[in-house]
Amino acid sequence: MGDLEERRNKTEGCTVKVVNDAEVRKVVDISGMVINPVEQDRINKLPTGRDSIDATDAVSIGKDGTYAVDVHGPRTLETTETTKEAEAREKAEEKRIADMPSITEDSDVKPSSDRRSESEGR
Amino acid sequence: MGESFGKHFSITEPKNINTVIYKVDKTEKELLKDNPKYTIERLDYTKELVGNNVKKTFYVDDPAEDGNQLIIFSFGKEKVVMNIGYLETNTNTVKISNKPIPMTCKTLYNEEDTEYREFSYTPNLKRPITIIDPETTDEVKPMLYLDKETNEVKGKCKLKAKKSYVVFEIRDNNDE
Repeated sequence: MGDLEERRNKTEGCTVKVVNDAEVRKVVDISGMVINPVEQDRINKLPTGRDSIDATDAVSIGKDGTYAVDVHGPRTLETTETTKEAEAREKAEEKRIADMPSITEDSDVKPSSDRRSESEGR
Repeated sequence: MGESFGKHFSITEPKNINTVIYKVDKTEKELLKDNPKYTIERLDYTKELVGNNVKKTFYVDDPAEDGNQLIIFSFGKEKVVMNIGYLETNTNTVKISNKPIPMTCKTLYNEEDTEYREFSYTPNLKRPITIIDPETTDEVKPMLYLDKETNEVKGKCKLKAKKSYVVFEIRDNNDE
């Protein structure tokens, strides 16, 4: 599309790199949360002994207002989980992280002679 | 002085993933007195189909000389992932962390089953908070009003009960 190409030509392309966390400069502290205006009884679906979810939890948002909580990271819960159960849970967690949407590294840094040969739309 | 170029970079989205990116700007010293230390701006983008995937190109029209912090949201069907990144202006590189930022979950108790609910949300200029509807990925903008009792400008966000929203806040790393 003409607009796309025009805008690209007016700006410099950058290479995207997915890197280890330590390699990314951080000038601000970012905290994110999911807020879910629900009734009191929803809170009862949290893991036993918890009435809130801390920053080590990953949250899946449910469209009907429910949510699934994957509790991972260092355990702060009081739990009767056995070692085998803990290992199984950690393996499942590793898989969950591996299945997370990944960002494909793309490079828009091309020699100017190649810019016009970029895909011309759909 | 040479002409200042904006920047662009592309991301190929996995299927059923919608990517939204914010750029963090640092407020100039002269303007700090009445303004937040940092502001955020949602990046404009264009889309194109590459095979079966969507390739999004994001534009940064006014990158800072020493670069900009980026916040990357990946909205899935019933999941959202937040990653931090940095646009390195000098090297034309965008670095994105492979480790998602953990998100907390906070419930706002609603004793009545109502479809709409107004929650008081005061946009504190020193601690900007942004609310996103994960289904549309649009921001929920607060309606500003004057609280006559306190003589303050406050904001109200209209949120639906039984629906989730993603909220994020940025603070100076040196705070706390």
